[in-house]
Amino acid sequence: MDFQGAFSGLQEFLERGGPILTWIMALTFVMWAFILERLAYFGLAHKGVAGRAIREWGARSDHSSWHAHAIRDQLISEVRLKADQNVELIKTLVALAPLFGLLGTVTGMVAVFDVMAISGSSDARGMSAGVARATIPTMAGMVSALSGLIFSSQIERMAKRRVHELADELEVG
Amino acid sequence: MKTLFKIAAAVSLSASLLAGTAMAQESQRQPVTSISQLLDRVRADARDAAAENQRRLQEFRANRDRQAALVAQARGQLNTLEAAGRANQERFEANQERIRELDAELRQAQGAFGELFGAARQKSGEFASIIEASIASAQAPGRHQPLRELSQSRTLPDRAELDRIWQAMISEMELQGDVVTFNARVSGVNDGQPVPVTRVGVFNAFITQGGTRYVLWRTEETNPAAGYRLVQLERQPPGRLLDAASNLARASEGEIVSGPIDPSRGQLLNIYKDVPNTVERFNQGGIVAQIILGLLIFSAAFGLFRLFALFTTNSAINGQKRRSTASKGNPLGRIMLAYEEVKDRPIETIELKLDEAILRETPKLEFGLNFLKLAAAVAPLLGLLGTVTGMIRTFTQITLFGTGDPRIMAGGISEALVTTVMGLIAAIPLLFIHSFAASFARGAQQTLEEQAAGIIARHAEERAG
Repeated sequence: MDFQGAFSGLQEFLERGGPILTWIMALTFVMWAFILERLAYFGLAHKGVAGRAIREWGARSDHSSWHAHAIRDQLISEVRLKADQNVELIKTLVALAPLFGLLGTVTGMVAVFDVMAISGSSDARGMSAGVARATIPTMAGMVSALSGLIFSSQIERMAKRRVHELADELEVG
Repeated sequence: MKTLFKIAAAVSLSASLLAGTAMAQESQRQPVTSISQLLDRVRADARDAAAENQRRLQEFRANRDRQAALVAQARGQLNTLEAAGRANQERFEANQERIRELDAELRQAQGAFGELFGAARQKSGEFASIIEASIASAQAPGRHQPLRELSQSRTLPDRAELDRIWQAMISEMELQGDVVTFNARVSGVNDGQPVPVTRVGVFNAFITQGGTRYVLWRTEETNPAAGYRLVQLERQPPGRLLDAASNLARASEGEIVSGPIDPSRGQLLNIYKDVPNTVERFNQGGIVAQIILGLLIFSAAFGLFRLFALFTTNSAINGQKRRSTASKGNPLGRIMLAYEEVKDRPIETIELKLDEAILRETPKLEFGLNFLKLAAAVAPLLGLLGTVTGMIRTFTQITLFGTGDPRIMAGGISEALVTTVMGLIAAIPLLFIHSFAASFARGAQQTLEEQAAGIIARHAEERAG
């Protein structure tokens, strides 16, 4: 499909889904931006951050005093703060996506009942726009949440494991 | 004749009675002194009365004869007039027959054109109504008059009149493609003085003076005879349609802009008067919606305040990390000061003192976070509560009135849906605020719990050299 066709198709889809679908799309973009940022961090930057901590620890002659333990804890904590950054936010965004979908469902139903109240009849064709507004955001919210859910749990596990590995590297004694 | 006589008798009787009274008056003047005098008087009176009656009888007879003569004369007149009427009737029928003959002759002469003229009249009537209802008539009022006259005239339309029909059709088609601005009166705007009105084809029109507003071309439902006029739409459509309209009004000649078209010629725009606006929508939610709104306002204000406080604390801690001199203004500084007091004691004492200082700081960071979490969780629950109370109302209505009219149930259903929406709308920002605040708080807490000791140790080592 050419770009023009894809764009008009997307536009039609957004039009049918109503304003909430735009919000879900924005939410999904932000969520994926954060997920990709995390993946890029673990893929590219984490090694450098962890390596700096290991070098600093290795440069110390004293590995056993109370001071040394406190500094080791601090090094690990700093790396953990960097690794955990935005993970909570991603989890919040994943939780928000179905909420937005539900919001779309209800506003769509409001549109359906508006049509019923104004026309006084239950003409299925008149209500179909509202039904589309109800169902499309629900589906979009679910898809968005599912797509984010897999990665958010993976990223959380990844962060925990990397910090653990670092803690193992910084030997005490 | 008998009745006439009776009336005459009655009249004579009353006349004699009157005469009697007159005589009584006379007798009072000349008193009767003896019986013989009385007898004479009675006899004389009787004679007078008889003579009088005789005279009157004669008079009545003469009258009767005159009346009979008049009746005979009137009868004669009636007979002549009836004869004239019959003659006229005959002439009328003859004329009717002649008209029928002439009509038939005319039909014959028209041949197939008869249907054409009928169709022309019918079409011009229909088209006059269409043109009258078309918003282009606001620009040139009275366009429909010639066609209306043509449709109502009894004579055969001539060539020029027939041409007028298709010319009007074509001009209407041409007007459908126009976007023009013209001056016209809009009721209730500018004291009835003409204002610039922009018309998009024959589909919709709007004014831009004093804010963009759509206008309709319509008759009053209660008084259709008053004719069509431009009136403002009772409730204007949402902003993007108004924006499109003002874009169109601002566009320069020949520029291509996206503009509004209502293919139903104003009916779709008119529906907006039935669509509730945000405030009405909120009011449909009833007391539950108000509770949710109150919760949202209070929690969001509190949450934003906490967010700001946590943000400043965080940046103060980050600033303190780089400086070796402890200040009392931030949690990390206070922990470092606590260490300064006991730095010469044994390690166990230092650790205990540090833990105590950290423990003093952490509750301040977590203050209010649980409330925010609770509010974010309670908002959708309140929405659910509204849903259920709305459904209860709906089912009560169904029990009372049956399911015949969907409008009866609409109130409860609106309440159910609006409160659900409100619950979600409240929950989403509260969740966001809580998420941000919690991550700030956790960051600060981790810094204090895991890094405070390290930072102190570093500064101590630096000072030791």
